[in-house]
Amino acid sequence: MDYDPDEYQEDNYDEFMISDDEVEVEIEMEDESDQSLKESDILNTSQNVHVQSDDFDQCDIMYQDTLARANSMIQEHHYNEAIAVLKETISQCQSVKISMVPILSQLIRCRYFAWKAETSLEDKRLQLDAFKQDVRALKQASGATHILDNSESFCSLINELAPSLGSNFILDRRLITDVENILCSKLCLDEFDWIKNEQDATLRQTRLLQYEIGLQQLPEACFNANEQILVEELYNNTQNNLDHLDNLEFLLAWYLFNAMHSKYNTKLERLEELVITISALMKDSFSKPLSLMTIMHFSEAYILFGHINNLRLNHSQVLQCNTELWESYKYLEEIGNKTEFRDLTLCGFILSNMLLIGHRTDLQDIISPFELEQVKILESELLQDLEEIYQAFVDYDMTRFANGLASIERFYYILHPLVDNLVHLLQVRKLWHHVAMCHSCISLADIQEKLSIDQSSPPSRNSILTIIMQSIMDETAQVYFKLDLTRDLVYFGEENRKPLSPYTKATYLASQSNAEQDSTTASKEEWVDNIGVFNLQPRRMKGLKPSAFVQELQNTREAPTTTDYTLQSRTLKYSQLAEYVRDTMR
Amino acid sequence: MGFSYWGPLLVERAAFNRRDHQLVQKAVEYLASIHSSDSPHLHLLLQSGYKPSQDVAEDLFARPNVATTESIAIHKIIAHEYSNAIGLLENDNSIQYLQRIETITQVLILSRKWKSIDELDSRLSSYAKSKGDKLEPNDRLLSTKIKLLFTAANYLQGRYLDCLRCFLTVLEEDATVIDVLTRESVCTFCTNDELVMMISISAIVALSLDHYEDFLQLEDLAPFYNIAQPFSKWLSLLIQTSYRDFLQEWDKIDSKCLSSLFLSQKWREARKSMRDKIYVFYLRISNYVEIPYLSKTLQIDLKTVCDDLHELIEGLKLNFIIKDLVVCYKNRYDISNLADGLISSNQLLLERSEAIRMQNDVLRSKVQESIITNNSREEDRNCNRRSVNNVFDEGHEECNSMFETD
Repeated sequence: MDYDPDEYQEDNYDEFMISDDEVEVEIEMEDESDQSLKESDILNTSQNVHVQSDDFDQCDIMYQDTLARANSMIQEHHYNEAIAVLKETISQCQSVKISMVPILSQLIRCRYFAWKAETSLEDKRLQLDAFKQDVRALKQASGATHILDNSESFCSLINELAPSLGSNFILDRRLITDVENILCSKLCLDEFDWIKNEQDATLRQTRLLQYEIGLQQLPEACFNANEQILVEELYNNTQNNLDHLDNLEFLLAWYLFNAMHSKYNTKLERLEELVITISALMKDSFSKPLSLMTIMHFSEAYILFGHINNLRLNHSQVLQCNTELWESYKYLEEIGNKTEFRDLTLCGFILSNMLLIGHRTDLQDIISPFELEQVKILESELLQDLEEIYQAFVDYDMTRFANGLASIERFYYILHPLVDNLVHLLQVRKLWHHVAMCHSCISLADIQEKLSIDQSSPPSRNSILTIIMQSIMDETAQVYFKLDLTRDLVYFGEENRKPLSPYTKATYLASQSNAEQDSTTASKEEWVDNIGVFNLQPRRMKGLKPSAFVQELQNTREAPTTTDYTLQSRTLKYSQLAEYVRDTMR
Repeated sequence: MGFSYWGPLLVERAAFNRRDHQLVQKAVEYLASIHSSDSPHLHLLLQSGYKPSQDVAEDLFARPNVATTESIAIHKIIAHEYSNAIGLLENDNSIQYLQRIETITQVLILSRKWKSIDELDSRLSSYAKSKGDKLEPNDRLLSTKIKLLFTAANYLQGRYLDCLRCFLTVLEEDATVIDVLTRESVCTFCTNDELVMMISISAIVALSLDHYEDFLQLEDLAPFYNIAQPFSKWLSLLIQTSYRDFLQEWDKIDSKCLSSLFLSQKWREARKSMRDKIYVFYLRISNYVEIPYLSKTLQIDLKTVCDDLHELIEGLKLNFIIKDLVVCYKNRYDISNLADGLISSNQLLLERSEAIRMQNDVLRSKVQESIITNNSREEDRNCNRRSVNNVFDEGHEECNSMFETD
């Protein structure tokens, strides 16, 4: 699949121009066809004489037989033969009071396929004329109410002549950008503008909108209708029920595609809204269209990307993203989709899998995504590239990793949150698993070089400091460290575990309380708690209710500091004792 | 603005922001409308450059029209006679109970009687309990509003964690608090903007650097993040350790916070706490750091950094020393210090014992001297006594001989 409609422009442009001419010719012909319709009506009436009304049963048998024969002919693509058979039956049954609707519908189908199959312009034109004629005949046959009988419905006819474009915006853009395909179906829909039944009329109208939006994917010079207005119209005409699932799917695909390509400033809200609506519908539905499911899961992951901005993904977000992409990929495999979208999904899945490794080092216990059956069967260059990236990641090999990333650069525009997070993760891993383990002292400049993915632009001094600082916050620092910011050096090792203050919160407050009033002590306590000078043990507080979170925070503040038997506290005590002795002696 | 201030507060705000002539005018006109000239701020308002019209001036000093207890109470509040006002309000049964609690809370905030506010908190919960924790919609709204006042009271006392906790409890009990915070009312005490800022500032101050990320990810708080736009930005910056950008964000709201009667009360303290929090973090990760480096990295002027760090290190007796604008890690009480201390104690003890010994010597010699003197004196006395006795003995004998002659 290709995401850039412009690339199709040139290929399809000529084709398109031909079709455009065709349309004009066809429109000119319309009056004539009206004429011919009247003629054929007269012809039909005169033929009625030949068929006797008591021949009804016989006629019905022939009728059903013809339908069946025509059906198998259609399946074998013998459209013209089918047309001949159908026309003959129509003429023979004229006088019998039998509904012509099923046979006319079948005839219209044949005409449509024959029209599309024709190669010469002249033949195409003739087929189209005939098609229009037959549609008019159907209009007449369907009576004043224009309702078809049970065996046949406009819905199924429309779905065959102009199938919903569904997820094709994402899953198969060739269908969207095939000018002839789009134009033919649109023309068919135009012919059915006399449909009165509300349900069918809505279907026709919304389907027409789908095709009009489809037309906008063609070169702008030819169609300047406002795509967004059309989409808005379709959105407003689409109800949140299973009957409108096709339109919902189309809309979801449209919004996803345009959000991914940052067209029209597409906001994520609409996409989110559609995902929620469709998920709710899917809950009550037994059938889950594969194409819809695949783009639904992908949209969920994509929405997540949109919400992170430039923040780091946390574990649960990575997990969610990984699950959604995997589901999406499995459906794609089931459909047999082999487009670039499948590659994109696979790539996202593998990258999120690598992110899930996090800071773990027990790699032998982690199942590699390449062991998964659905991935294993794939034989593509992309898979090799991804395996290379994976291996470079676990080997802390920055250069190979960089080369690997270059090979999937084409997906960066969507997957950049994953890629950026992965680069960051690798840098943090390398810092703590390699650099910190091997050095007791190293300069920031050397760390910059060691953590550089792209040699031409190594990470800045600031970003290294940020990594180091954040490692304290999220407890990823594996060893104690101290910075010498006057010489830009980092010291690693247990000996850098040095307390900020010789006091604990309790001993500090006790030392203050003698001199001051209660209220001052209270505000002092609040202050030392706020600046976090004595509470150095971070506690993780995930998945709590807000009030429980604050309570936990309060507990952290109130928890007595575990008695510190280090040399430091003993020294403090002896020093204080010695000082006390001196003070009393003076 | 789609709201108006509660009368007494309008006067307080105008007195606080006397440069806002429109506000001053409104306040004076309000005072004139109720014929109140008892505000201790009145002369300030009238000196601020706003000249009231003749009518307004006459109205100001006209006889107050006090028809209801409530209006008397309002006059008392304006006159800063808060205890009297509360006394009146407590006994005014014409006002609905929760409405009364709300007004009393507001008066208590103005008079900074925090302990009484804590008592009101328990009165409010027992009221809710008496209704089986199912309040009428109007009562529910009032109760939520009162709890928001408690939230503000905590901020005004510098109890940031309590302020945050108070708000989160309200949010958990009544999710519509978010709507309350987006709709300005006609009789405003704290504006919604002020409340949202108090809560945001409190959260930033009270949470530790390690917890910002977990806090930002609390799903239940999403509605609050939606209405407190800068708050999530602050959190993101702090999570990314972009402390300079964060401090600059706070610089941007400095004048706004200082011009708010309520926010200004703790704003400077909050800013200082945040600076301290960031310094402490730098001290946590470094052995050596230059003050100019911190000043440049955090974009805080050198003198402020210098003063802050001095205060921090000395105030908290941290294991750091500042030497030539470099902050260095140094154990405040290390072994060598202890040894020095012990040696000097020893020296002191020796000196002291020497002094005592010498004193003792002097004392001893004095004692001896006096013993000797005493002894010799004793001997002398004994000698004298003996001679006296001899004389007596002789006389006695004489007498005896005299008797014998009779």
